Amino acid sequence: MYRSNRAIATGGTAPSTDVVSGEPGSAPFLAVTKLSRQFRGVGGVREVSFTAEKGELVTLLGPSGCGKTTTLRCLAGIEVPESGSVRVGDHIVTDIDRGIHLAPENRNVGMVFQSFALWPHMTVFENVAFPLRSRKTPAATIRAKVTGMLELVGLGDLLDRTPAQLSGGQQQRVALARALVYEPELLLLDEPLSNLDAERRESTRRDIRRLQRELGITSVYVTHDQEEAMTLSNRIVVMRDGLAVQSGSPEELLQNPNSRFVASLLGPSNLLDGTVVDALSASSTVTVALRTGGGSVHVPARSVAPVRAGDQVTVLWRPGHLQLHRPSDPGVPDGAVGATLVDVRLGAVMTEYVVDIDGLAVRGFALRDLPMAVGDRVLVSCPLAYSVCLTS
Amino acid sequence: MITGALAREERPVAPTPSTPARRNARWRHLSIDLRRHAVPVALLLGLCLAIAAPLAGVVMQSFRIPQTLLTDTWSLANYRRLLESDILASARASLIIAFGSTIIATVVGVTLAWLVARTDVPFRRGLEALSIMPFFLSPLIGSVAWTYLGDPRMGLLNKALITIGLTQEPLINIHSYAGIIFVLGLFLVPFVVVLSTSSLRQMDSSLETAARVCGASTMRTMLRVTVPLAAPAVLSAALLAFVFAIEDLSVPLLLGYPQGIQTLSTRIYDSVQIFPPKYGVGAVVGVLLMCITALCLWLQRWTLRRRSFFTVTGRSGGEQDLVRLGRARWPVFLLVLGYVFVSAVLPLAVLALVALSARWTGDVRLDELTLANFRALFAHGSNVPSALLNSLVLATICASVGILLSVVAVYAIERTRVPGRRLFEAVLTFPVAVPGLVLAVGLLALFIHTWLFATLVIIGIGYVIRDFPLGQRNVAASFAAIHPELEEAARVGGARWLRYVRRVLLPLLRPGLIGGWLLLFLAFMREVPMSAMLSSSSTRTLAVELLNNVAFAPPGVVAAFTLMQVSILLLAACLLWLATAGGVRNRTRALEV
Repeated sequence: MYRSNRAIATGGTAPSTDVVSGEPGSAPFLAVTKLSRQFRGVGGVREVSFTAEKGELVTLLGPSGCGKTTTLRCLAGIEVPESGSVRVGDHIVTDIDRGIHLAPENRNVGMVFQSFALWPHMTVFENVAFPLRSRKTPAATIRAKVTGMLELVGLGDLLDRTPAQLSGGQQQRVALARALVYEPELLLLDEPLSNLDAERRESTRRDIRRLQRELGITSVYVTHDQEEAMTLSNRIVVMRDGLAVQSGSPEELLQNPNSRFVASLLGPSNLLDGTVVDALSASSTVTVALRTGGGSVHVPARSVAPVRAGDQVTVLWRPGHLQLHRPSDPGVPDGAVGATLVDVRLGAVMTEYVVDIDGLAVRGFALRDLPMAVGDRVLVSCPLAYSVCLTS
Repeated sequence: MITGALAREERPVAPTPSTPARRNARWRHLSIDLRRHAVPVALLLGLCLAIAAPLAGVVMQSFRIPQTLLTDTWSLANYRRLLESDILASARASLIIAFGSTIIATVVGVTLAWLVARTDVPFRRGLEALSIMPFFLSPLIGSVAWTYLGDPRMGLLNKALITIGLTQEPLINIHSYAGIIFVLGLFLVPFVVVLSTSSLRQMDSSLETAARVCGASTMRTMLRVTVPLAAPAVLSAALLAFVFAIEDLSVPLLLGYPQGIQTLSTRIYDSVQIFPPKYGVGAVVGVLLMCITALCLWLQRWTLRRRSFFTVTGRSGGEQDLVRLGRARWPVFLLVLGYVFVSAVLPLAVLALVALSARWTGDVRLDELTLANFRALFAHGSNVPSALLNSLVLATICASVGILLSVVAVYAIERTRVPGRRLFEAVLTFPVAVPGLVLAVGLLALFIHTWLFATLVIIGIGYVIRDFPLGQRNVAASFAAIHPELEEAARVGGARWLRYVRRVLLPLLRPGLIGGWLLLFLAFMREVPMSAMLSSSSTRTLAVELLNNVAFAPPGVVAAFTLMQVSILLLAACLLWLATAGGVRNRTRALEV
């Protein structure tokens, strides 16, 4: 569905459509390679690379200012990167070394904006029809496609409203319909839920996921919200200060984060500093001496990267994985360490508590009421599979 | 201005070392970016050149001495002229007039602004609208009217005062420094009112309330709290008024010139009207005048920059506590009405009276009223129809061109990454500091030997350059309300730039465009200095034709002609008010999600 090659910067060569080298048949659908775009002194991205298979949803996750939106805008063609290349399907849309960077209107991508970006002087129908009219689609086809798409997002009866007459959630659905109505090869979403209230966020998120799966459209989704990333993505690219620091499926990232940053970004976590005291070369199991207020306690952990005795490391314990035992309980696991229960906060979903391991405060969640009281001595343990030893 | 998505991305990262490869990448990037925005960027550059050229023209002309008809030599002789007594006397006259009228305008204007913004004077909104009425007349019209009121021999006021026996001799002489200062000051009042009302209105009234609670009287509160707090805004308004005063041509030309009072502005006008014209002298006086106005505007910006301590705690919504005038309410109200009477009602009334009189000697003869003067305007052989046509054509075309260029320039500045675009933005504001007279000298210097000279085109170029910032400010204000993502959404959706402009940008800008267009139209319809300097006998505008009539036509015809111009200006003003006050803005609300 590419339109004539009105390339903005062809440097004499027409935009190439050859497939980037790689094993035939196994090349990913979207390939972003070493994309850089820096602003004078601040912000931007440096050499970001990632890929997505056809039909996948990839999330760029990171705190504000990490460069995720810049990356997305480069993919859309709005921002001009300084180096790098982008391939979508069989088309190279950006290859700065060869002077190729197609203008947004010459790429077949759809984009949903943080501000919704609906044109306030047009009706819902006109908004959704605009991209089709830009493509000189016949009027009858336009009507059919627009109404069909608006039905799909559940707004079939609001064709003649103006954006100002819609709620935030409805506006974002119109924006989604507008981005999808011309069947783009790639859908880009820039924090589409951040301007919605919590309730609408939930339902719109489900709608995005449903549509994305039904239409099988390859998507890149930008967010700073780990929950959105976890529930929507096939693959997450974690970004920090302009760099892609780790990528993988939500499960992979949860199980094997490669840094404190990734670990804490993905949810509540206890990050405990310590020193490796015992590392068996054959296994990934290590023993770490956690620094406490007075001295240290030894706990078992699973290391993601090779470590040696004496290395400074961080042990990650997710609050939900911790187990509390009374000293008198039978079958207390080997690695359990002594602690004092110092705080308990009851909640409707779970009980949140804090234990003190010789001056080291550790937070935990329990689904049931705790059979002990504040001030009691307890034993706390974390199953080896979830006790992760991070090297950075 | 970086908005939305971009602003969030600004956080320091470690700087990357500058390598040749990296510089190469930067250049590639820039060239792609520039080619994307080639059209707006090229127009922006052209515009900046068009603004800089006449300024360079004036400066170059000021160093030139004509040798023969077509050759010049470079010399400082023109600058030595500056020190001669006649020019020094003009500079003195200019300063006296500008200072005097600025003081009048500031005192009256700030008082009016304070009354309508911060006190409970009756009918505040109505008074505010009335007090800026003279703004829509022009100093030229005011001067003509006040000639009929304050002329020693046939001024209506003098005759009236003698009739009721207050004096034997004429009391008022409008053809004097005092007269010029008075008329110019009256005309400048609306500027000061407009510029200071909003600042006064924004001021947190709890600061004043606190003073009252501490036991200060109304007067003491105003002097010790309100005035110091409002000082930067007032000073800035006064400086702007001073600039308007010193570059004004029409009032000193009509009221002082016949009496031999020469200001810097009439000197410049003179230098091109006499034969042979002395462009060098005009240019050098122009450079002097430009230095004065530029200095004042720089000072004005400086005062505004330092005023952070003053304004406004952001109390949203709530009505400010108003100062209670108590028993003085109605007397104060009458005082404000008195100002409206003197500045608008009286001048318009006398114009009507003169226009309807068969002959004017200063006495009211109700039995001799006639419409002959109005008929004379359009009689065979009158230049009025052609002047009207010239003005309408010029104002319509120039307003359209000016607004179009404004859109392109604002777009290029706000939406592209042209290197140095902030510098261009600064260049675009230059014309504010360049008096129309000086710009005209520059255009003459550039085009004197070309076919453009003595055509409407050269006047049009002057109009557009001079008042371009006015339109630009209007467009920029509307532009700021349009989220950049609205364009990005259109482009990603497959629209080319022109389609985006036609279907999204222009419809969204429309309220601002209409308002800006009418403002420019209004400014061009009443423009005096450039029209007077650049027009020839076939390219006279309404204002120039009026100047001409004042010298040669009978008072009745002049008054009728003036009234005609008043009605055109008021009509345009009404349209402006309708366009900007109406509900056209509601639809743009949704942009600020």
